[in-house]
Amino acid sequence: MCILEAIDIKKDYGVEPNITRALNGLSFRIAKGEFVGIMGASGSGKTTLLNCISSIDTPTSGQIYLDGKDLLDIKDRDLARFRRENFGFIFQDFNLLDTLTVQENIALALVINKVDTKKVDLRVHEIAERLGIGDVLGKYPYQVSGGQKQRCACARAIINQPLLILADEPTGALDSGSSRILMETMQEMNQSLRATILMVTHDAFSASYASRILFLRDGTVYRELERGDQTRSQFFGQILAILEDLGGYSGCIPDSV
Amino acid sequence: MYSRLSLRNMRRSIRNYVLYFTTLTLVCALMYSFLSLSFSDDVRALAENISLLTNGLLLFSVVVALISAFITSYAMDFILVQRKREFATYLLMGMENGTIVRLFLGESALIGLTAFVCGTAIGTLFGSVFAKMAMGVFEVPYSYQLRFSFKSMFVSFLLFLLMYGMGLVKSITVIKRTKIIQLLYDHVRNEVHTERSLRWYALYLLFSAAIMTLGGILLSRVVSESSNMALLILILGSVLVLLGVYAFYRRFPELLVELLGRSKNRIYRDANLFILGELRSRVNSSGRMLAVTALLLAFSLATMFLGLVMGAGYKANIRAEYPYDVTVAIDTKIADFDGVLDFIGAKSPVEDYVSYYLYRDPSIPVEILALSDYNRLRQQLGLDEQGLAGDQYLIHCEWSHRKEIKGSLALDPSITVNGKLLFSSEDLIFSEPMEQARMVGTDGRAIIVPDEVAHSLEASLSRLVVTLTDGGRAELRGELNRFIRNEWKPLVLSPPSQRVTMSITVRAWGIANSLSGFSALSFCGLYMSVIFIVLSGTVLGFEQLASLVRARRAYSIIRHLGVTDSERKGLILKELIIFFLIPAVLPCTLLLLLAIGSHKVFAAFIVQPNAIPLYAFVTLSIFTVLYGLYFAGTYVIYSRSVLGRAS
Repeated sequence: MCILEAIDIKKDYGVEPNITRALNGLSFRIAKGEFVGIMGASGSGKTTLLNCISSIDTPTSGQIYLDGKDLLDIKDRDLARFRRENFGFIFQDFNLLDTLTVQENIALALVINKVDTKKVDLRVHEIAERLGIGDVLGKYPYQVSGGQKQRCACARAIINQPLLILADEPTGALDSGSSRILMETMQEMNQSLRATILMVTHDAFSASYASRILFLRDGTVYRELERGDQTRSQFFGQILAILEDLGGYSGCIPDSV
Repeated sequence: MYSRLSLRNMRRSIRNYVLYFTTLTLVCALMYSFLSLSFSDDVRALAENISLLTNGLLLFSVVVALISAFITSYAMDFILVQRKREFATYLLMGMENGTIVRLFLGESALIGLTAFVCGTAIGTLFGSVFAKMAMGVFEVPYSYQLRFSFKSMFVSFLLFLLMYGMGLVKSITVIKRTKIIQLLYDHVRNEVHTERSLRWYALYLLFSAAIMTLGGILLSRVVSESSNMALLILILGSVLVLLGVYAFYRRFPELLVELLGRSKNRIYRDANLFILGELRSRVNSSGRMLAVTALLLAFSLATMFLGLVMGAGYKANIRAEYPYDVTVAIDTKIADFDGVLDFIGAKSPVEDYVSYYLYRDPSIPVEILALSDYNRLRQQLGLDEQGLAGDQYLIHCEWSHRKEIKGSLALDPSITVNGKLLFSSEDLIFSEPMEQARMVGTDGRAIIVPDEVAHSLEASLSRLVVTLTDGGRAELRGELNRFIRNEWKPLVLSPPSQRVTMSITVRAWGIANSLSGFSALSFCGLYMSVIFIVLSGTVLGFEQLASLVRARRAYSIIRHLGVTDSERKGLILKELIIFFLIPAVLPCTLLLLLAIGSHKVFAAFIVQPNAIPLYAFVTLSIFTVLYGLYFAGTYVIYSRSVLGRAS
């Protein structure tokens, strides 16, 4: 079943004669329960695509359907509600509120979605235990590690069981150990909790946890890679090969893969 | 080059400067306008002792300048924090510290001078309004006229230099001493949340409430204390109340947030959880400032209210203090006041007069007055005449004595005057203002008996009351005083054993000089409190704007979580309302308690009915308007900065 469908999306910035085309007729589909990675060099249009999908930005032309509903048909005043009911977000810099505890940060997503107040604590504890942050619920973001912060952000993103989780460079601010734990957490969210995830990343190691990867170049899909039955190590190798082909990566396979 | 850079910097950070500039302008405007009142020739000519007002305003202006210096310094600190990274960039580019200081000085001088010029212009308008108000108090006709006072501007400028200079010196020291690393990374410090138990908070707040209560008890005792200790008790009581307010506010907001956080049902409703977080942050970083603001507000509300009430009470009571046009009291028996009457008649036409004696009976501790003299006095005041049976007496006393006298009458309604038994009752007690402390008795009460009883007694005090056709002039008092002391030779019928005391009152003089007291109390109270409210609003505004960077991020995060723009506007409004309400709640409550207490204790002494509730309302209204202006200004700047960037 198709959850997200993007058809011929174009996005221009600037005014004539200085127009920059960030997305150039980009099309793809994501099925329910998929874990899709989006990779590409800087300026390839990754973040622009994510912003258009999340309805924070609007494409110049094209259609984006989420669960059959055209995002461009939604009126401005209804966008916020649509976003909170259908999307979960994970950002590179966590985007947690420093003024709230980990528990309150997760609960905030439920509160904004007007969930029954009696069920809030129960659901927060459940998800926190599953993502391994049950013991830091009472702490403030500055009192926990980067990995714990990002798992808190994951818990906040998934707690409303959104149709699609959008992750923008989720391991960008983490060390390798924390990155591995986070990606395992996201894999768990995808496999056990049936979350559909669209993740933008530069990092081949993080991308190797996805089931499919779209490589962007100059605002279009340059290549598409399916993991299929490959091991993650094999998949990682393939990712690196394509990145090399794209001319944007020259790393080597880490031991831990 | 640098001057252009200064101008561009100012334009770019205009939002930061709006509140700062508004406050500087308002302080300058108030300072100039009150000083122009102080130096105004029209005002100085109002009464002999008007210096009470003019010197009071001058002294208060110095105090205002000193207090404003701290707030200016605080505002400059805020601007420095906002621009630390910019200064760090200049330093990294190789600019010298001295150059940055000069750049900052240039900007500050430009802002300061502009604020001073604007303030002086606005102050000229205010000054005219205040002059009109002052003239209105003295019931002197005055038409609005814009008058520029060079003297006021010069003194205002000196005080402004003092105020602004102190703030500048501190800021320059900060710029000189701060290192690049601090400038670059000062904004990334974590907030530290200190956790305390509810029991700790309960004990702390009980302790501060106890200090406040102790202060309140001391203040309530001031009324009954007649010795010089009253002033000491007043100061001690006030200090304790203000200390209690500060101590209470130092932790009360933290407790409030803590309690709110425990009520899951409440915080999980709407976006209250987000508001809780924002409040927690504000209370955590601004606790001391909230306490200082509450203290300033409590002080300013009390000052304004007491200034207005005491002033109004004063004005309303003046006519009761001076019921007659002219009075002369000689504390011995003299033959007549003919010489005095001739002198007065030569100065102002005499419409009527009463020359009479106060009598004494050794067995009765108060003065006795003949009924006919008493009725002649009532006639001067337009009061109805009273009659007595041959065995009756009446009592004329001040309101405060009525209860005690009624009690005595209930025990024994009879007295014996020169061997004659007389009776009275509650119906024969009168309390209209007739100068019961001098002209009708000497200690607030007198006994009025039938003429034949009074005339059988020895007269001990001589009194003269004169009603003038034109009401008389203030200068008559001095002229009459000089005449009686230097020229008049009365025929003394019963030489006293000690020196004769005498007193003269002229209503026109008394009212004019009493009004100086009224004006001094009201204007000085208003001046201080308005300045304090303005400064409190400024501090709160800056505290809120200091959190802009963090707030932009927080409101951007909740936007991603699906909170609509209108909901975010609502949240900002809610956040600011709570932030501005917290320091105002207790001062307003204290004002109401003060008003209720004052009403109970002083209402009977103030002739104007409901003066205390009226001035409590006026105080709250002025406060609401001024505070509301700062709230609205902060809201507009804050919401535009937060939502503008985030969206």
